Amino acid sequence: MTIREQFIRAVGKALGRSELPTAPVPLSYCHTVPMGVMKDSDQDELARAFIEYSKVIGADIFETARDALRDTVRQAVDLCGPGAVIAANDPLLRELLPALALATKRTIRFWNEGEPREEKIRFAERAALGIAVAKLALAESATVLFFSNENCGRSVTLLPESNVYIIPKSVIRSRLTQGMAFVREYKDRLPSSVNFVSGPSATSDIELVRVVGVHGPVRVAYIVVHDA
Amino acid sequence: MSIKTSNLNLKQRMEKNLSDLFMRASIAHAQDWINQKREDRYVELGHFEKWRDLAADIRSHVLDNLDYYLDQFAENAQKAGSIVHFALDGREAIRIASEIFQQRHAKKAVKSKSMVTEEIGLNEALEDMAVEIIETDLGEYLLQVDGKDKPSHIVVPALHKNRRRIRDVLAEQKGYKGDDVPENMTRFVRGILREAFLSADIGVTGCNFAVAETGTIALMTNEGNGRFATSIPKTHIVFMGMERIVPTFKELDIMFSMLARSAVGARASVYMSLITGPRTQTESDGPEELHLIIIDNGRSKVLSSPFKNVLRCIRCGSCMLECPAFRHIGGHGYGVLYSGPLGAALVPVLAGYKEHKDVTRICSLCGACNDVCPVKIPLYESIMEHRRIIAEDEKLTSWIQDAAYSLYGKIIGNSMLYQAATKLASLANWAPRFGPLKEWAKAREVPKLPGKRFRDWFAKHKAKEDKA
Repeated sequence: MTIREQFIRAVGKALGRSELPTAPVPLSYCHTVPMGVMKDSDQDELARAFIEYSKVIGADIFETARDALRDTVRQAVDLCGPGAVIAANDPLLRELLPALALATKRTIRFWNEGEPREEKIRFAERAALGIAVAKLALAESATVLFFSNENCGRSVTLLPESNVYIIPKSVIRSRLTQGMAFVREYKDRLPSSVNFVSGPSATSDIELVRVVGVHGPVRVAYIVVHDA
Repeated sequence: MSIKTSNLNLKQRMEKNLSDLFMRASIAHAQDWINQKREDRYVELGHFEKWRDLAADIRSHVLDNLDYYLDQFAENAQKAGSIVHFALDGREAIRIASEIFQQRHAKKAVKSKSMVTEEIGLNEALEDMAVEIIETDLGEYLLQVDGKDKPSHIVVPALHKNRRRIRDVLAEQKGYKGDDVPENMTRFVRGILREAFLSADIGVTGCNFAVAETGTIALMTNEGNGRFATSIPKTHIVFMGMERIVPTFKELDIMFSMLARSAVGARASVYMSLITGPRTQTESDGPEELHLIIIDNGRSKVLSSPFKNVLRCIRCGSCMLECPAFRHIGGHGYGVLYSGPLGAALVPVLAGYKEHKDVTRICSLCGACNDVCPVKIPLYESIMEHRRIIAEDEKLTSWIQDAAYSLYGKIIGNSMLYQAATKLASLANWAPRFGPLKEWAKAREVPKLPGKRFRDWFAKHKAKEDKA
């Protein structure tokens, strides 16, 4: 018998069983309250809720139409101060950022561009800014969702001093219930790292005084794009 | 560290912590502030009782089917490329971890806050192997540099330290030259820990929840240290208490929603990370290997006991923040890793009555903890049952207590003794000065018993009336 079998058999014994069940007793939900949160909100109302709560959690918030996005990205990037930019390899950013690099004389690198692991991490760590496009966003908690992969490493949304996240209005959902349902759609091909991020990193560990920028980004800017 | 965190006895711990006025004020402030935030978040969410019902049902369902879900989780984690280990106790978990460190010649590790690693004494074991293990949660880091002090709360571990103390410790131990403003001290620590993250060989984390259907580890942090520990070092080791399972992401939504609100009064934590196996071939960052160490360490004993429901706990700390006893003595007063009502309900069955019976005495049975627990653990009923077991089954009460209750039983059961005792009851007015009520009476006025019993007064009064 393997150690795993011994361990699990001991757990079963503690539950009064001698054999591993072939299926669990079905789990029935006694209430449906998670589905009821913001259930009647339309996309504009979800976007409004997302924007309002972004202010509560300390994110800088920008709203823009799709055709003004280039200028808004410039404003958000300027707000974060000078320095290099590490960007997710996303078609939208590929379209927007080369012009920004020229106009602001910043070094901009895309995550997928070939370099050894250590150099990529070091570049992201020294970058002033990381930019990525949210895969999904949650109105209730002003949360954005990223899948890590070869185009968007974990470092992009973690290591730079500031982050700018572009959020198409059409990807905003009500709350974590919808966020987890979305992740579950990928259950057979999940990326190694999926992250829900809600604003800048924060702590209240010293006398319960809230301080932003502990390990992760000190500043986070959200750009909500009215794309539909 | 292990489950026991103090060599002082109960009375010594009480005296020490009751005299720490800064700690008491901090705990009181934390209770008032976080409790209000928690209540605000649940009011705006609505249907708190229904959310609690759901969360409690899910946790009970997992415990009832834990063998099935553990097997499913291990299978799927392996499919995702994780290396899964099982450890029946803390010693075995440390042996497994030590081998991983030795095989990789690892000398430096960064650790994200994890209760189960404290429970098994991981830091001490690695230090014995000359491994530098650095706590990266800000509160835990401050405790580590301050002579490996112990956490006073499960979520806010350095609650008992004021900013001046923290500044002095950072100055003495790390060369900090700034003021005592929390923002500035945090910025200083950020710089130190950045380098630690970038140079560490191994990242160590706990696990808030583990998703059985995908073999995913779910972590919740606000500071970002959990993300660092799982993104930069080439090896990631997860220590997981075996009861951390949820069946699917659908249940994870409910547990995360409750945990963020109950722990710190937030709609969501800043980072909710879902880790499924090590990085793939095409990814540039993330660990090359991921080890999961699933630990029993007494949990199957709890599972088969009348205290099974205590394993529903999601480590939010709300029972502590609602507890009037915790308000006065903080986490250190309990002398065990898991403090507050949770500690009093869990530790005796997890680690033995003989050494930990006293922790069950730190409870007034007011039931406030039950009202806020997001997974509806019957906390005070569990503590009461522990007290019964300690007295009746384990026979671990002191001879003075046994003699006192035996005497009380004899007096109550015999009318002559009862008559004599009630006539002499006024002698107890001396008790506050000399007896067991001495400590209690220091801050309270004990009502005086009259020299004459009511029944004697009544009989005399009635006799007078009859005569008249």
